Amino acid sequence: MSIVQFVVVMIVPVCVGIYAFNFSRWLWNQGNHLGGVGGYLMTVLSGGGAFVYFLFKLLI
Amino acid sequence: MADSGQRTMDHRRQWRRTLAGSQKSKQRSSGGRTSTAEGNGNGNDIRTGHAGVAEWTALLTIYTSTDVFLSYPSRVAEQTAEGAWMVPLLSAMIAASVFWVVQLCMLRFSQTGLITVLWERVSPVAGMVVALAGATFFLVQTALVMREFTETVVTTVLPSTPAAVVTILFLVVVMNYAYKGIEGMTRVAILLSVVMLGGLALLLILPLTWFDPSLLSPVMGKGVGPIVLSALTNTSMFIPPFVLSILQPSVRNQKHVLRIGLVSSLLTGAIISVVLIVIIGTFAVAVTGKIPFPMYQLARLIYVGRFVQRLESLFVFLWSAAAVIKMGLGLWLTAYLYARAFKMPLYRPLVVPFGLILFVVSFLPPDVTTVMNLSGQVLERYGWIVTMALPLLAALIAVVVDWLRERGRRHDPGSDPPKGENREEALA
Repeated sequence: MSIVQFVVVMIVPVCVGIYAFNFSRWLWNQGNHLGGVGGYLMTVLSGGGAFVYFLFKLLI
Repeated sequence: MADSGQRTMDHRRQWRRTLAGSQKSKQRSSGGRTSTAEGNGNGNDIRTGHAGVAEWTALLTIYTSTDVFLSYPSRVAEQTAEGAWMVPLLSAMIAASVFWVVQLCMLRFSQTGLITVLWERVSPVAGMVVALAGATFFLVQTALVMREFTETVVTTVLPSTPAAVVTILFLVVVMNYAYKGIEGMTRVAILLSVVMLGGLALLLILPLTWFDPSLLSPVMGKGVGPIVLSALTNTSMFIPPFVLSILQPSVRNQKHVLRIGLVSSLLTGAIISVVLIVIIGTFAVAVTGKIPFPMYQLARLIYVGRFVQRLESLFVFLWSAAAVIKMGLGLWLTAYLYARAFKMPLYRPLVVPFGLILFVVSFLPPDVTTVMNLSGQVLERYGWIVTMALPLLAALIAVVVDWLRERGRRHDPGSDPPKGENREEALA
């Protein structure tokens, strides 16, 4: 596995994670704390889950 | 710099005034109600737009009927043999009955969705549990359908293309479709429904030269027991009771909600039943149960003279369109229900993260055999708990709790006044 392959594959989960995190932070700052918690959970599930999945796919 | 800053502030103030004015005029024009599709306008609900009867019926019919392009016919043929064509009809009748009961319960809460009712009248936890159960169900179902369609495309028309590439292409279209919201989705569905019905009719008529009615006997196949059992478990594919009880405020004319649910369920049952009759009458049960995608094989059989043959490449477009509609609505429902569970004011920012989760979940099963086993052994067997039992139980609980509270208030007039405009209307 080359470093380029690693970066290209990992860029999508990282971008989606940042996007979901920003949405969650916006909800939290709006005073919608329940929505913020849901958003943070979504960040972990989408960005984190996809990151771990792609990492395992690349390493194995 | 100071001037430009002042201009920006003035512009913002003016924009806020305009927005407030338009919201007030909307409230006036709708008789005091806001234009939110769900809830009673407490500001925490999502605006989803509205759709007509024909559009909703087309969308729900296409969503459920799309299963005939996948492994559903072979699964049902394996379970019930020659009596397979009765299963969708019976499932549709069960789904229609459940929907009718749910709608009877929902009459008490005029023009309010089930999640809002649970949230306001029963408990926020109940609303959250129902929404999260629905989101999980649609996420898993859409992921499995995506993988099945990808494998169908790869094994039939694009054998050299990697499955991930096909899935990514599907996903891009599906995310764009889900992003358009319920109005866009229903309009696309009504436009494509004519093409799909025509294509399906052609697909069923052209291979009739191979059709043998004697292959349909004995009519009851493996008997009444397996047919009823299969019909009960296969109600998991009929989503109108769950979806319409939640999204009924999105229907433009509230009087027609019941009609949408009944017509879409029965129409779907009839379409799938006709398809199963043609498939079993063409291939016989023993073969149908072994073919992973019988509709594709049916298209390959078409031979009308020397020049009208091998038309399966044309029908792939039909299947792809149906797949996009099914997966698009599945993704939209997942994002929408998750947003409702956590009281988010928007669902669109969730479409892309859920798209990524769909991609990952669809590739978790190692092969297509595992996907088909999961569809048959898990989703089909237990999916009815979400699509049938959950809305029925939730609606009944909401009615009982609301009735008990109203009774308590009658006995104790000094208690807190009821909340929500619908409650006020009902008591008035």
